[in-house]
Amino acid sequence: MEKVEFAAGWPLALLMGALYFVGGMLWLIASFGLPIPFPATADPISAIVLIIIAAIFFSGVRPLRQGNRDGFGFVAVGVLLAGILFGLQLVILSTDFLGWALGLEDWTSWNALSTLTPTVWLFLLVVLIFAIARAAEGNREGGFTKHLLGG
Amino acid sequence: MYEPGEEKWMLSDIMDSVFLHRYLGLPIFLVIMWAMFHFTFTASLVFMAMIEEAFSWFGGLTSQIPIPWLASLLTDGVIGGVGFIMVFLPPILLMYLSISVLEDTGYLARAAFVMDKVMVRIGLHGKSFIPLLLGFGCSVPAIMAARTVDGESNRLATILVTPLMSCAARLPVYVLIAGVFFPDFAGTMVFVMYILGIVMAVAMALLFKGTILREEASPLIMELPTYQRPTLHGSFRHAWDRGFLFLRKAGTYLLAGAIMLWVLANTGPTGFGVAADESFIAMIGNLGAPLFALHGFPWQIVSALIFGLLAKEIVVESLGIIYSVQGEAAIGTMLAMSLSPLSALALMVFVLLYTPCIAAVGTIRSETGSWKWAGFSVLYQVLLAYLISLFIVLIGGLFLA
Repeated sequence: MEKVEFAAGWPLALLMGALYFVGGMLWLIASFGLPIPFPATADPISAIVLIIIAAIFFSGVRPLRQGNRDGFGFVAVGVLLAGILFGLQLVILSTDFLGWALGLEDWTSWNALSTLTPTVWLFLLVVLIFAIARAAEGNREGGFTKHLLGG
Repeated sequence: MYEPGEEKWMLSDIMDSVFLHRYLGLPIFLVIMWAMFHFTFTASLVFMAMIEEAFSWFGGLTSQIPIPWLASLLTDGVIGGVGFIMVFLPPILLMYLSISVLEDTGYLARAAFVMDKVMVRIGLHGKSFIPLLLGFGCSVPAIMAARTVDGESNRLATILVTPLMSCAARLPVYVLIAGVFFPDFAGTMVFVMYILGIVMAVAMALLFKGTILREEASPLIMELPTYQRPTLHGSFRHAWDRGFLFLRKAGTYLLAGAIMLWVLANTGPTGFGVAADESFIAMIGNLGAPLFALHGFPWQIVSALIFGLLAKEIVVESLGIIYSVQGEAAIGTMLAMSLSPLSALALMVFVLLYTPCIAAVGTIRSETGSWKWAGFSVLYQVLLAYLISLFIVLIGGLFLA
């Protein structure tokens, strides 16, 4: 295995974890009826799922700071799970769109925003953060983001 | 399964350090399971509506047949029964697809490892998790898979608790009831049912291992395959193979069951063509109804539960026939009129916990070589389902009061 700069990955893990933690907590609080502006319908279990993903990212921070490769796995699995949830939600979005396009009764009042849950836009933010980190890192050998992409 | 090459091995190893993590392994497993059920329920809704529209169109045609009994048999019996159960083909296919993907990636084997600690703590063998997991698909092969479990009492305990895992045949009941009574978090309710099944299986295993089936636990030794990228063809093929079994069942046993139920729902002591509440099926339902008075289940539900002993799909099938309406929306309306949300939740729990089907009982008989264990399995599950669902109604009623 080539020499990878694992220590360079901890700010990424921390940032992604913070994103999911804040998103999950706000969703959870909003789900229990507290008056905070949050663009999602009440769904405490989905909110807890986001907090678990945050915990996976956070678990990678310490080993990555120590340059330990074990931390890489937490970021990889965190991104993988977040990506799976994003992908599944996109499939749900497209099936809802199909129902709306066919004019089925239950979908007449459907709009895309109702299916765009935090699972979708949080992952898009993660992709954005990753893209920025990737651009900053460049194409050097052993780069953390390059390794995360399987390079 | 293992492909040589250090790079691949290392990646698999690194992934395992997270998926099999001491503290995160179980939450990750639960997240994956939740994602599976949420996706299964939500993504299938459109396809269910499309199938329902198609059958309601067929129903419109068959109801115009000039021979009344034939029109009723085809419309209320075949389309109202088998047609209605076919509406649930999409969630069943999607769930099998999700399980196939998890299986093909190599994660299911990890899930057994993640659950090993829990299994050992309740006195079961780590390998017991495999039959329990297979129980999410169908109880019959799951009970057979208990052959791999080491130790006679471990094996027996696994066989006895495996039917508590929620099989695919129960899914239509959850989807129907959760969609009617808990539409805003239906996917989560279905997930809760599956988790409750696991919790009850654990609780009963603890009870059995602590009382009638004492034996020391043996360690789990298992080879883990490396992670694989699932292929679209492979996963769809696995899902279709399993889904086809459901279609075959619908075209044979469930069709026969629908015709039998239609006859019982249309004949009574006074002859053919009686009203549903004067039919033989009402007599059967009314026999058991007093036992479920506290649960708030009317005779129609009790009849459906009694016939559901044959196969769980029949519960939903018989509701269509007994209420003599077609389509999920129409049956949903009838259910909403005859059940409170609390009773509906109790019904979901009852369906989750009582004997899955007659085939599962036969398999327990052949695997244990004894009618005693098969009878015990039926008895304890019916009693457990009865008590837990009653508990929900009583405790829930206290909270609501």
